[in-house]
Amino acid sequence: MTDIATVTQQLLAQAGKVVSGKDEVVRLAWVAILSDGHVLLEDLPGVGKTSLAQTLGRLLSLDYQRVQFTSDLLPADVIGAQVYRRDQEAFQFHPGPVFTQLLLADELNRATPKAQSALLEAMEEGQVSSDGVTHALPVPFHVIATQNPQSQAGTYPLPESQLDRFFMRLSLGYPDLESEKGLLSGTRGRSLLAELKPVLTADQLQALKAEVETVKVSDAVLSYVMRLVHSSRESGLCRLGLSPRGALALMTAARAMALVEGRRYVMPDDVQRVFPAVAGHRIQGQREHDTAVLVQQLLDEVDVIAA
Amino acid sequence: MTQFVPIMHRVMPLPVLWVLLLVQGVMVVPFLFYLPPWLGVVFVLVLIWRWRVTHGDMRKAPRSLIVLAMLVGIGGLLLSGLRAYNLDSAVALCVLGYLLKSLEVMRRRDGIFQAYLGYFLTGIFLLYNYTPVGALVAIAMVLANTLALHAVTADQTFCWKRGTKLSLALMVAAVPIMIAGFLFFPRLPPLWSIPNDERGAQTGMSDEVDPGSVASLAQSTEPAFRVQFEGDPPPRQQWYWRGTTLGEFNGRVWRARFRDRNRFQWPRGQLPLAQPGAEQFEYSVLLEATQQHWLYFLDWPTQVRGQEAYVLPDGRAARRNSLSQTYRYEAQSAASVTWPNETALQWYQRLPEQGNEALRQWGLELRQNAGSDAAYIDAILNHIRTEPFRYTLQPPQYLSADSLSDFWFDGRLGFCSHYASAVAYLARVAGIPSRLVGGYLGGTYNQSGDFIQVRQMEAHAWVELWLNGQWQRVDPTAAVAPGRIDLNLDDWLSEDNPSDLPFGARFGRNLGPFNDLRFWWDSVQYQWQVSILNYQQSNALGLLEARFGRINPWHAAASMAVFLGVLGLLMAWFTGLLQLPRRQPEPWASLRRVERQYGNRHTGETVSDFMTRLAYEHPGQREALARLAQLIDTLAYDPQAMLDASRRRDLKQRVEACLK
Repeated sequence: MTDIATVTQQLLAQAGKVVSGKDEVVRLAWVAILSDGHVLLEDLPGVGKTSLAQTLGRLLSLDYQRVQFTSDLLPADVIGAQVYRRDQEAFQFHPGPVFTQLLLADELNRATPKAQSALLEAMEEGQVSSDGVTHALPVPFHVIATQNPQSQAGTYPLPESQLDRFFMRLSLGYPDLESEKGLLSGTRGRSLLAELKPVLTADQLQALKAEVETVKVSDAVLSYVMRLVHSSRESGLCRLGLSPRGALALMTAARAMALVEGRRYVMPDDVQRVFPAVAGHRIQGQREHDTAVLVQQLLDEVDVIAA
Repeated sequence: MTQFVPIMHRVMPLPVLWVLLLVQGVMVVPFLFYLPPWLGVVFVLVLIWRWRVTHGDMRKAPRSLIVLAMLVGIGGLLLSGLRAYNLDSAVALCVLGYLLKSLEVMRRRDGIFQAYLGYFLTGIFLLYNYTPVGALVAIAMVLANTLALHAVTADQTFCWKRGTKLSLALMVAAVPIMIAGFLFFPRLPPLWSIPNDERGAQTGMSDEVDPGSVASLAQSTEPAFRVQFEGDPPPRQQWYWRGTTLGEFNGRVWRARFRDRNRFQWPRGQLPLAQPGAEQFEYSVLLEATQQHWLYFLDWPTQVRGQEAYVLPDGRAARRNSLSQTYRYEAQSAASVTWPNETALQWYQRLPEQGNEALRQWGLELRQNAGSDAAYIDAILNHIRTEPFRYTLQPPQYLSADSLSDFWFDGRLGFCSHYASAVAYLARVAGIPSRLVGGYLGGTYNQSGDFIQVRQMEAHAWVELWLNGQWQRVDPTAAVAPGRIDLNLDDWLSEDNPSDLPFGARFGRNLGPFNDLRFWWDSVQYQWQVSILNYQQSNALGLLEARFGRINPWHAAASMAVFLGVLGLLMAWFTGLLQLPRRQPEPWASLRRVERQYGNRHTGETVSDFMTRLAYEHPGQREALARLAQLIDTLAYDPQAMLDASRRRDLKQRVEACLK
């Protein structure tokens, strides 16, 4: 059996070469993948979203595809289409870029809702339908979607119901001074992508995913998660609280985080670590809060230890 | 779709109806001993109606039937002689209403009403019977009503076992409140009262003695009073318990003089009292309700301590208000007293002009033959001794205007009052001031309770004569039946004339164990009277003051508040309203200790965050704190390590070390 803590160390060390100074984000993305979830990267252009996706794909030895979402993108451009093959005198399904193990959906919010929902359905179902025929997507199948902040012009913001389908929302932010220096001097960055060595095979990844389920959750932690979830619904801070799907995601993410930390049981620290990423895009404040502030407020108000 | 019915209007299930009926039966039966017994028949009739109801006809009785039943019931009460506005008729009406309520009990609110009415009746029952047995019956009644209340509110979920258990638990929980109420609740005078004079008037010495009256008392084995002596009681022969003095004779009946009866003169306008000589007795008396004013004393009363009680100059002690309840007083008597000069002796020499001429002549003749007053009295007593006079409980009735003459010359069968009456009359004939004394003679010493019990059958009448400047007791019964002075009436009769013995006293005589049981039961009742029924606030205060010094009302209020507060907290704790801070289990207890030393953990801060913050503030402890965090986290969240005692010990030791 692969020791997950060691794997994580290797993963972080390797990824640090390309996406420097973003260990926590890489770790959370790794947790999301272990939890069999999809990630929404929300950030400004040019801070390394694509690099992160490519790095993960390479390190985890996953097939990697990229779709640039634009306003004239059609669902068939993502899913694929029936193409008439003259030599066989028949229509044949021509798979789109979605048939891959790691899909980078770049600038998801630039596409029309129709194209967006084609992808989101694929994420939810693990399969796509074209002309009445269902095609299963490969396993594993992960989507890393990126999105520009919604204040920018010409975008179609994702509705809340669809945001909920993303397991985590992460944001990279600008690199720190040290990392940026390395980037500029050429000792770090995308140029090193080719040098990365996979740390896992796809099969090993699947085995690790199965282990997430076995992580123990004590009553104390369960109660803490429940109180967090309840507080998001009832404290009056939020207009939209955490859905049961969100609560489930929080629990799974905390398990995966415990596993990544090399533990077989969850601690409140794990919950707190994944909470902003898991809950941030699923709740909404009474006013136009920055949800990061809101999430922090929830974490501060709910006592870790039951009274 | 069923319509929503408010909870109070819901029809109760059958088992609950049965419980209510059973409780009703339990409630009514004890009352039948005191009220017209046909109320039991009403219960049976109600039972028949309920049987109809519980067998499918779930309707309440039509209004006309209820009104009719009530009218018939009230008519029945009137026919039973309950016409006046008094306790019996009020209670009978209440019980009747309680019984007829069952005609319409169908919904929850009716059931609750019935249970509450049952509690009320329980209180009323105690007016009739306040003995220990009555208290037990009342407790059973409260239990039954609590069960009924539970059944009504439990509705479909009612079950006997659980209901009984719950009711018992509730009653046990009420015990502290009961004790507090008993000790501290002020005994307020009633705000209103129902005339209650009719009951109890038939027992005890009255303030008139006609020749037959004392004999009727001799049939009763009811206790009259109980006496407890400080130190040794006087010898048995001296147990003359004097009550009223009767100074006025109308030819047939002796009664107290108006001046002596006028209680509004007490204690003002009094003549000087007799001064006690040597040999005094201190005792306390628990007197059953007599509806009269006088208190019973040994010869001669010198002092009384009790509410509104006075010693009067004619050798009586009395209370201004009539004794409508059991009454307890402390008494002091002296074996001999010095009498002040009697100024109104002529009152004790008056005789009616008419009647008993033969006896008057006989007396005058005897006086002339006798040399002195004392010799005259001796001659009279000797006459009784030598002539065939007989002492009997069943004397013929002497109803003529010359009743004393008839008795003295023809009948010669009489009870104490006949002899006393005749001797007092003869004394007056000769001009010797005399009066009758009504009271009791003898009593039974109760070993287990250390008190003397005097029963109604010990009622007695004797004579007092003013000779040589003092009142002297003369008991003609001693002349006719010397044994009666040494024995109680029933003991004397069973030796002499068993057929005269009242039935109640005959039963159970010569049954050793039964006698012991009777004595024991008497002593239980005495203790019950003294310590429970006669428990007065003043007693309580006296007791408390004796122990804690002078009681200040504010202190009393404060201690009462504290007592009730503690009681409330205890009850809140038992019922789960209040949760005491429990000892926290590990690892939280250790965490708490760390917090006490270094300051509190923030809300929302995990243990390791907390320890990290502490380590930042106390760099010297960094490693110890980190280790603590790890141990606490493991114990708290790792299901496999939680039960590991060695880890817990380790944690405790480390916390100790860390806090040093």
